[in-house]
Amino acid sequence: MLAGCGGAWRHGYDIVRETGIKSGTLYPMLIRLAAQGLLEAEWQPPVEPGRPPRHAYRLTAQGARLAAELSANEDGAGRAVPA
Amino acid sequence: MIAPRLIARAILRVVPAEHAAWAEAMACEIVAARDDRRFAMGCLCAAMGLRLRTTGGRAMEQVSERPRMTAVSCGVVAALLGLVYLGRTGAPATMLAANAGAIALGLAGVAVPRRVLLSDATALFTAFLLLATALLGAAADGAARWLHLGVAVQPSLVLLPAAILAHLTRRSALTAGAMVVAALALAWQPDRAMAGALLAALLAGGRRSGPVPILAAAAAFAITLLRVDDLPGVEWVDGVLFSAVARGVLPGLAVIGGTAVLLAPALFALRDARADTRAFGATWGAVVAAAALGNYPTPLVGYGGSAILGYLLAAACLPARPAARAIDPVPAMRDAARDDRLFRLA
Repeated sequence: MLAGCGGAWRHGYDIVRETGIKSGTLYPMLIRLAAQGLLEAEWQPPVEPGRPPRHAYRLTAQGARLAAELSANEDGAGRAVPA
Repeated sequence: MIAPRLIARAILRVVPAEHAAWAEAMACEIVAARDDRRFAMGCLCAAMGLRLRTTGGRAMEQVSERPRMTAVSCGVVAALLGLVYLGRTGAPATMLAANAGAIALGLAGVAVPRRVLLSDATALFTAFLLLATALLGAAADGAARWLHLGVAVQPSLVLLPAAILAHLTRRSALTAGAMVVAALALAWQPDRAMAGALLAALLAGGRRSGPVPILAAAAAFAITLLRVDDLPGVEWVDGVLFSAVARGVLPGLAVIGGTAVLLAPALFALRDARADTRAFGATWGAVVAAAALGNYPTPLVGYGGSAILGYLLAAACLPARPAARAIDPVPAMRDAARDDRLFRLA
């Protein structure tokens, strides 16, 4: 999902809603990706007053490259399987 | 039902400090998610997972990054459990006193500087003493493995494990020669258990051991296998691994637990690239295996100060590396922003 949003920042809750992945799975995954240098995070100020700021995520250049490679491999594997 | 904001506060408390940014990220997202309870509960699970992994990881780091401290601690704990076994099974008080004295002496040996222990002199002295024991030592049923120094001492158990580590560190012609002489002496005595331990340790040491010492140890072990070794077992010394279980629950648990503890550094050594920690693990793994298979002393958890001394001296030869702490690359917010965020969570 992060690979498909063209480098835009995404929030954790939005990722959960759009992918159906559970938050208990998402955050450990984000932490691992960040530790490997594949994900960057930033704090964004609240849009509405009185709300807390939010942590947003996007793939780093390295993460985007890896996602593209994985996606290409998946496509290749898909084509190799006879219909 | 727990309110999502309470869960958010719990997450801030549960997650360890090095992942504080992630705890704050989850807490703020719970509030931003307009109190979606399911999302909040998932975040709490993730937070608890982080806490468990970090706590477990730190414990593993401590033991695997500090081989010397880990091995010394394991040796002392195993020997203390051995005292429990001896005490509960009615062993003579002199045996308990000898084991307790060996713990104290071994801990004093740990204070000896590592460079002194890991010297050519240690390997040469060991080789000389093993040869002297084979020629002049106290013999029982055809085996000459002991020296009588007030109490019976088995020099191969006391000194060989440290001498092997000295050889792996120094890798000199002198230490290699000492390993060959030690192998010859073990074949002469004969001592199948320690010849096997020497071979296992040198194989675990890999290239650092050198081909000649490995060949000599293999030949010595083969000779001990061919020679008759039907020394009868001695109560509280040999066959302890099996007899302890038959003597009661507590003695059985003390011996099994103690053996597991003394082998713990060997298990950590499996994931270690260092030749010396691997060799330490292989030495004591082989000694325990010999005790399980034949009438050989059960190290640390049975009677026998030689093994206690030998284990602690060898443990003192291991490196004492400080643990390195990983740093989360995702930074927490600046202080002012952090205060503001936590205020909004309140």
